[in-house]
Amino acid sequence: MEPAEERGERVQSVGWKEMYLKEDWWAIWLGLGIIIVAYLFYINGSTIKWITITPSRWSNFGQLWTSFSGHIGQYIAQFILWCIIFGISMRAMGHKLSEFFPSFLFIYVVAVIIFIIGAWDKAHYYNLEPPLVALVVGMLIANTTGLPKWMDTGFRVEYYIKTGIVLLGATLPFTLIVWGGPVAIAQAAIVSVTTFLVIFFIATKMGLDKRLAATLGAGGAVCGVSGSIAIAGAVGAKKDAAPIAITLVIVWAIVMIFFLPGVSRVLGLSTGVAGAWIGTSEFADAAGFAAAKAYGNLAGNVAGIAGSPDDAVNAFTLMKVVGRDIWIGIWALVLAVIATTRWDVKTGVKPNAGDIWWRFPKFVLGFFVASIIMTLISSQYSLAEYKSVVVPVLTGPIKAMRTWAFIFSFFSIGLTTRFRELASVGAKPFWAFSAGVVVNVALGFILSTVVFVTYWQTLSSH
Amino acid sequence: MKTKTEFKRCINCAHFRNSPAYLERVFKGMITLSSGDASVRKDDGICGVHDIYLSADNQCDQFMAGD
Repeated sequence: MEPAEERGERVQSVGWKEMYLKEDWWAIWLGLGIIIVAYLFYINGSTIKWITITPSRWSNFGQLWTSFSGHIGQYIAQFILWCIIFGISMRAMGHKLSEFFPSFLFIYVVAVIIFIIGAWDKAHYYNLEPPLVALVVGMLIANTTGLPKWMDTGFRVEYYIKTGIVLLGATLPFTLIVWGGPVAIAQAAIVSVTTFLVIFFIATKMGLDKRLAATLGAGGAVCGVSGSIAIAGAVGAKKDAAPIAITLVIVWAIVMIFFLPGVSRVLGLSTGVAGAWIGTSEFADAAGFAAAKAYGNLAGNVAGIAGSPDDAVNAFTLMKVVGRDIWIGIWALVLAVIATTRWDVKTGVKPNAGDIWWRFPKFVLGFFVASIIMTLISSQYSLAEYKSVVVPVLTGPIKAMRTWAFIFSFFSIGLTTRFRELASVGAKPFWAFSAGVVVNVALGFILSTVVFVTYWQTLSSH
Repeated sequence: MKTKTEFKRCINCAHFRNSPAYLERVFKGMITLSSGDASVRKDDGICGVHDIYLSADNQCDQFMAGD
């Protein structure tokens, strides 16, 4: 048999080459690239608005057809633009463009349809929120007829959501991050540490291996599947630990996409408070954004839900990205130290503090930079000028591109959620993880709706 | 230049598998809410001898040069 390296199963350390070999960096280049190009158009008296088209609101098919057919060239141009920017990066990361392009064409066409459904003036009445429609349609396809496996090349959930998060930075004032960040970190720290300890304690009491327990704990407490995989590698877990955690995170994340906005709606939580709760208690970025966006869209459309759509997304981002995601490197280092000094060791070297950097989710840097850039630009205007001059031609189009990236991601979650392919987990990991879910959701609710409620309710005033 | 100890890391071992495509194939469901191309994964991979998922910087006495 030929060596693993020749079969493409082993690759050398990427080190700083990750700047063009990992999707986190590509999300930065694409996100900031779009923002810079938008700004260059803006200072030259123009705008990228033409190519960032989204379906406009409609109430009957005649209106829909007139609106859509008049802009079909713009949709084609936008599709080509996405193909170019994603195509270059996908190629650099070693993916086959012959698989990516047709797969992405499918995603784009369905995304347009999902957008159109969401733009129907009765969509809210029938709960047809685009994030949830994308997810459900994707899951129906994946778990019924299915699609060829090669199409997975285009279903890059994480890449799309990371690109969207960098673009989101352009609409989230850096002053808000500075103001809300410490609260988010405090709330996230309380919930993350508690959830991890609950899962770890129960799992080990049930007799599960400590490394599996840590892998499960990180999935429930830090950043879902990515957290589980990072910790599994850091502590040297058995090969089947990560797939067990992946199954549990996916199942509970899908449940929470519907549960958290559903309960928030019944209780009439404001969008900022609900966004904070979702950010605390949802298990993955993409799943959480789907829930937060779906709930945010209810503001102004459903009676009794205060706040703006942006409040839900902003609060979620502060809690999940700033409060939880950026600490994964530290979690990995601490657990690696414990694993190599306290637990039974088969293989191992002294953990390296440099791993905090190498495991850092770099796309967050792009999110911060985007926020700083746009905050500096907008500081030159009064609030009224910003809303009338900057939003329509600069931040508005960037926000439209972000929404597209998010829909690509939500649809991809559905398309890749194939329940029959997930690893079986067994009763003990299930109960240990589920106990953490219960504690996480309850504690997240109390912190978001009682302890820190003032911060999340007044988010938009800062 | 790599020392003998540095060379004996998992990343250079014939038993080690860490490419994004390989891991996405083996870890079912990985691409649903994560990715083989993510930074948080660093260079971690699967050891075919110990059947564990671990850091590429690790070492053991069953190292076998892979290249």
